[in-house]
Amino acid sequence: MTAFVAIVRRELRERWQVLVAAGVAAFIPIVLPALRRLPAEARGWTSLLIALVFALGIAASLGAASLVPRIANRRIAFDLARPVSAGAIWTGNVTAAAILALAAAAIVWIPSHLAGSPTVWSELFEDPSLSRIGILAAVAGVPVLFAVVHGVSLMFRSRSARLALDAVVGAACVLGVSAAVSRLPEFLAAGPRILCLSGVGVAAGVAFLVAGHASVAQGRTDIHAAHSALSTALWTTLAAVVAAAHLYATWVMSAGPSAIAAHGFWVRPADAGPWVEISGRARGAAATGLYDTATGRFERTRTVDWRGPTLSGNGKLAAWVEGGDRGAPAHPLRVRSLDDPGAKPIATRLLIEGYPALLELSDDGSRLATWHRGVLSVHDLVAQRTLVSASVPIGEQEEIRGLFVGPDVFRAYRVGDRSIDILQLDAGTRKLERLGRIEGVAGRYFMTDASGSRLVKVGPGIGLYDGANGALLATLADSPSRYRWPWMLPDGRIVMTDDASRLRVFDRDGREQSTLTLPPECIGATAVSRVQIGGEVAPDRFAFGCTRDASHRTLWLADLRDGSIRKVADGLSPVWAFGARPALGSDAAKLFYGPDQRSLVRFDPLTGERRVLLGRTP
Amino acid sequence: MEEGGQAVSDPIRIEALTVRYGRAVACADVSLAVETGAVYAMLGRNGAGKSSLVRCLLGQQKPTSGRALLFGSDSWTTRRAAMERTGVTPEEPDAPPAMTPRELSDFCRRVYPRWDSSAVAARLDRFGIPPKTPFGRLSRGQKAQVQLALALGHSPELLVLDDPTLGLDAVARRSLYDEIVGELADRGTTVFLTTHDLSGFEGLATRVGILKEGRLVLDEPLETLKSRFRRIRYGNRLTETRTAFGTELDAFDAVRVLVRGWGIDAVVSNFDEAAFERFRAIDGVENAAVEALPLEEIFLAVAGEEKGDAA
Repeated sequence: MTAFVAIVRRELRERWQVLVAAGVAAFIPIVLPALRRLPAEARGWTSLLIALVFALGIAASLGAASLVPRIANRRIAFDLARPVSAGAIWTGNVTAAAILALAAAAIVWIPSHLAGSPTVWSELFEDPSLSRIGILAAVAGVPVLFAVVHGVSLMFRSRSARLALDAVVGAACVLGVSAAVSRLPEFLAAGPRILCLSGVGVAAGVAFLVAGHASVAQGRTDIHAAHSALSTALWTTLAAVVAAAHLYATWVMSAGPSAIAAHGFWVRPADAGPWVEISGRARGAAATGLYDTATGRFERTRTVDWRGPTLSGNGKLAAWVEGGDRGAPAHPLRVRSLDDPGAKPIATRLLIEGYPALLELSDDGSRLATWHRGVLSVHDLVAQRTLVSASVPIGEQEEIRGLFVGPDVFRAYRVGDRSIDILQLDAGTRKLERLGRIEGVAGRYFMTDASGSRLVKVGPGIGLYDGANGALLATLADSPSRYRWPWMLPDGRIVMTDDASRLRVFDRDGREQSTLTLPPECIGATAVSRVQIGGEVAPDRFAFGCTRDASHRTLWLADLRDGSIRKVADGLSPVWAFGARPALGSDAAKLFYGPDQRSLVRFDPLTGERRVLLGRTP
Repeated sequence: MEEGGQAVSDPIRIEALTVRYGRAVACADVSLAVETGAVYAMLGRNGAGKSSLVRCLLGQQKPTSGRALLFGSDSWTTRRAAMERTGVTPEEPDAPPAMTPRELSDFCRRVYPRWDSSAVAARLDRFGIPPKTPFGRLSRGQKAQVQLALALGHSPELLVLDDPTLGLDAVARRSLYDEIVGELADRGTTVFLTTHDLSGFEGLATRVGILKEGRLVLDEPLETLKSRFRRIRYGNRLTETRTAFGTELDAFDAVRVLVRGWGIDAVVSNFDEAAFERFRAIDGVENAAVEALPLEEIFLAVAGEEKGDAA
């Protein structure tokens, strides 16, 4: 320690003149605004700029001039001939350079600050925590810059053929880091990407500091040995850093469904079959994928979190638009067969501009409808070509939804806050028709049956409409405040709750069929989501969940044959997805969230058979 | 304590040390030992490998193979500890040029566990060194004197001098010798030096080594060395042209033979009186005379040109 202090004192004593130069330079930002009639803000910025130039300039020049010439001409032998460790020599020089650089910067900046110049710091970093990070980075950056310049100048000064090797390995490291970072796309993993880059930056700084020490400790008076030691330490460390960056990227991007489930997730099941779309966050990144609830197979999809994959009605095909970072003009459309155990994702020839707001597969998966920036298209996934496109503009408060109602016919609903336009695009005739319009509605929630022939709209009241032309078929409820939520069973029957503690069942034409009395645990005041209708697990039998509070969920089975309701489980709630139409007795009808939506459970309400698929055991 | 049959407490032990710079060999398989209290003079022509050897000895350079021990420990790995007991004057002045001798002494005071600032100041005073003049502005001789003062400031057990008189005038050399002699007389410090100034150190050295093209071709006590090296001069009637010598010197190990106009001038490395008497009795050998050699002559004979007939 005493040797370290002695080295620092000596270096400071030898180079104190730079502080005098800084003192002279400190007058520039004070005088300049007056001479040039510049605004007062110029003082702050000028002082900051000069302070930076001094700090970086001193760090860089001392990095080149402190130790490298002494190693090259063996004057470092003066220190080595004394009981001074290589560590003290290196850290003493680094510390002295840092003190000089930061002291010079302070000497330049403080007088302007005291003279009342506006605080540029607060403009640079509005967030105080960022300001602290900025200061820390500036302080840490000075010794790192010293070490970097030391390393580079040592490489050049040794005039060794090793320099060419350094250039090659350095380029390889840059490419390696670039490759690792590119594996963490910004649209998916912005946080891990920043963390990775920051980690690599810090580790590279440490690598240069470690390598600088190695050059002194192992090179001593032999500049070639110093170069060799520096290169070995630097590239070994950086290679480890590159490897670590790749391992980190692999770890982030290899997060499976269990990792996604650990932080809360959403599931959208196929109407038929065991596959679901699962989305959430895992290891700091947005994570979306396809998960086979029967076998546990998982396929991660590189999609933006709001435009995940879509599954065909028969559950045999998934399609998604591959995400890309900024600058990518078009994105490939990928498909994956879900009924082939060995299937891999296939990139189709179809390139989709941007991320479509609508992405809907036909029931058999042979057709795909997309809507993006006012263009509705139907694509043939077998021939991998676009069959038809039509202009379907929307207003600011509108959106497009829809479904295939025939092999080549896509019905689109242009939904606004007050109306729904019903359009139909026929790929066979290549015509876009406006079929009808529903007026006088409020809010955008509605659902259709699987064929598109019926449409239930909430607000005002609950109305049953003809899904093809928008004609009102029946009014299921007059007041929106009394009725909570409608749901359509696979055969088109409608199940509805009301706050009179009843479940009401209507046939597909809107005629009330039966009324079931809800158990006391399901009776509440206002919460729409208190009762959640699930799938029809067997003819005339469907599950529904009741939520008293987040910690108290119960699952019930309603039997329309005898009008009974019985509790079948605690802590489970039906998996519900907007627009989903689980088939009768399908896997989707038997999937439930566990408590706090941190587990996925396959549960048969008829038999009570239960299996936790993902997450903690409820 | 013994290791490999040798005392590990020798201040210096060099074992099979080799230094290579690419294909060039600076030191080749050099082994030697210096006992406590000895004054070892390592001689060699320029480029013989002396400085490389010294740097390895001081832990400033890693040998290609072999090792150098200071006080029984590998100097490469234990340099810092060894330097607490070692004083060094380098071949080229290497102190920071902006620092004054007083500041240099102050710096050393902070890094050595024991440092006698007053002794250093007294020495500088004796040398007549201005204490406040930056080191870089001192003369070559003054720099050497400052380096010596700094090397002795912590009363080292071992003093390593790498050609300390190189470039010094006679007065500076004299004061340097006096200081070293005083140190030896006062404390019996072990000294390892490399030098060109053979005459100056002849009275000090107890053991001599000669490096030739990286190889240690000679390593023995000075007295033994001087007793076995002799110059033999004689007339020669054995050859007609007097441009070569014959077999009369076969009894000796002649390291240098010059054929001159008056006869043969030979330096032999295994002189003994009986052999010389037999030599004198050889028919054709005339006016044979023998004389002792100064160290410089021995060095020239060993490290100079090869045996031959150059005049």
